[in-house]
Amino acid sequence: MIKLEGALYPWRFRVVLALLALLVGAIACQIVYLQVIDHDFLKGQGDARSLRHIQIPAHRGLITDRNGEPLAVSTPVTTLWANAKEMQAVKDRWPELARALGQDPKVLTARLEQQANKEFIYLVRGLTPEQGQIVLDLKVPGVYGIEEFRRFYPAGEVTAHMVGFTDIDDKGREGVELAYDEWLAGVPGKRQVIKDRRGRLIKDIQVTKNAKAGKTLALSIDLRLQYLANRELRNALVENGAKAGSLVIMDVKTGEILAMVNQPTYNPNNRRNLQPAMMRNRAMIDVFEPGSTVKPISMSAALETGRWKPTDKVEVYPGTLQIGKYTIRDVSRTEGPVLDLTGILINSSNVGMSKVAFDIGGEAIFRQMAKMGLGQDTGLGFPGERVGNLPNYREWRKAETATLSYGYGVSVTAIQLVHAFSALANNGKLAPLTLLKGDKDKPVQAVQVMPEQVAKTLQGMLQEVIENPRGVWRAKVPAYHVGGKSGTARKTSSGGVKGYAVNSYRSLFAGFGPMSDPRYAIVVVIDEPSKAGYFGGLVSAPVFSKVMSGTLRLMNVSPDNLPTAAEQQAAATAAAAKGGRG
Amino acid sequence: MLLLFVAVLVSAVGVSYSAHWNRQLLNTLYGELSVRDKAQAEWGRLILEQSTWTAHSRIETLASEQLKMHIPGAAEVRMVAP
Repeated sequence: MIKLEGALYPWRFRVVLALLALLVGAIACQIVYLQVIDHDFLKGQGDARSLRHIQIPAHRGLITDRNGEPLAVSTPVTTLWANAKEMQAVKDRWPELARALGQDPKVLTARLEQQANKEFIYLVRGLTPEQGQIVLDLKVPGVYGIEEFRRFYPAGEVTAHMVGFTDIDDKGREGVELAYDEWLAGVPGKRQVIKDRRGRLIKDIQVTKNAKAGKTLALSIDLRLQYLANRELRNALVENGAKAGSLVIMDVKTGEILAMVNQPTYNPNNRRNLQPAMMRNRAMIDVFEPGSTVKPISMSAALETGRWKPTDKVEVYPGTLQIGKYTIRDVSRTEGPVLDLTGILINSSNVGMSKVAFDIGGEAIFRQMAKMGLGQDTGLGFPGERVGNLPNYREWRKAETATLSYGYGVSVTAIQLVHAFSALANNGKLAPLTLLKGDKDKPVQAVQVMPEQVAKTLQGMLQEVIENPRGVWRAKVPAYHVGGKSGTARKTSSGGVKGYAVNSYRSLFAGFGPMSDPRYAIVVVIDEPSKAGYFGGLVSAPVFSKVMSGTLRLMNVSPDNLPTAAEQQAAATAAAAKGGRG
Repeated sequence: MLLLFVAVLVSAVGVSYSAHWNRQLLNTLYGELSVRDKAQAEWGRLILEQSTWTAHSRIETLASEQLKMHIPGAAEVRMVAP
């Protein structure tokens, strides 16, 4: 303590000293208060004014076909946005900006003035990085760029329905893009930065979370087959003046869908002229009555009872059958008054089929169809997919039994029909459908839905349907034995009118091959052919033939129906004599 | 006491050094990321270009018109035993 005895007024000195001590104490208190007690609050407030988290965009996963060909690719693009408030100060530069953006200066001016108090408006989205850089290099105050991703679809319209598309925010909207959105979408990361009041970046601090890129998805489809199917279907539509169509190719052993095309289609890279009708993935969304194409399935139910053999005879004369007030008719004249079971399939006799159905009962056919997936959930989980309808009655009366046996009163999708045929082709084993490329090491969980012997018998019958002189010769495939069944279904009328529409048909064909070891099943659906005719055997069978021929060739399946060497020699000589090549 | 003082000094320098180092690494990271993005954009463009050039319809016209290729008929196929 300082000696104060010598001081004139010791108390004054003490007062000054006390005041000083008080000040120091007050400052110390404030420091402690700010640094210790209020520290977190103040730090939070400070950070809130300068520290920003910026999203690191994540790369969306690639979609490829089974051979690794890309079907959907994400590429970075630049999106330009503006702080309209900030931009009001530089009105003289607006025309320059509008020119660089390729927009009408008047439109841009009107927009900026209308939204003058907004701090964030999009100027233009999805520019290429180069284009974006040109605009950013103008350094117009208030114009900023952010990085986004845009999807490109190299295969364009050929895979449009299957792959679907994403919206401008890179979220799946249709097709596989939507169904597997979670798998494809990456998890965006975050980085911490310090920004000033105007939002300019001062300093990068750290990456708080790394962006996780989306995963690649390999689909089961084969782009080569997809192209082939699309081309043949389009040609058939033009040739027959049809409204729409779909075609599905399936690997019967693995359940993989190798191609699924629909017409009309659209270009997913340019969706400006998009009409809703083009977007329909008809193979999965449109349900129809399969008509005669399900006769082989009804027939399999008959064979499975053990009471029927392919050579058993049924009387079909006179081509009509009266049940109550309904009359069942055969569409074409049959080859005789009595047909065996193979003959019923070849002539596609509704009367014959109905008589067989009466013997085995509607329920047996219903159960067989249900087991093979008609009118049942496919388990694919594709957006918008329809289940169809397979009605079950408590009591099966004759009318219901008969109509079901030849494919009316039941509605299915093309994908269900090809699935059912795959069981016939795969010796009675039904492999679950999949849109994804299967794992070679994982065995397929196929279910035996009918005895192998029944399936083999039916394969022979369906081969006869095509190769018999009275059969569907248009479905023949050179150098291979194939089997299949055509069908023609009247379309139910729309718009509240009950019953079937006049002169509007669906031409169907379902088949598989090669017969020596069936591998591929194909279903062709052509909607409202209007030119030459409407029978499935006339309109859809040639498409089946061309697509099956191309499929077997592309998949390197060895021919099982080559002409013998002598016949080839003869053909070659004949060709040489004509002076040209085959 | 002295030891503690030196330790504090060292750690103080260490903190600023690691902050600096962190910033440098971050800069390198962003540099690399932008290189990657550029490469990715380039790759996307090349994929598109490739798919345009190898469009099946184009290849088919080239094969059948320029190279006069055709699919052999059943009579022209000879099976060769493996």
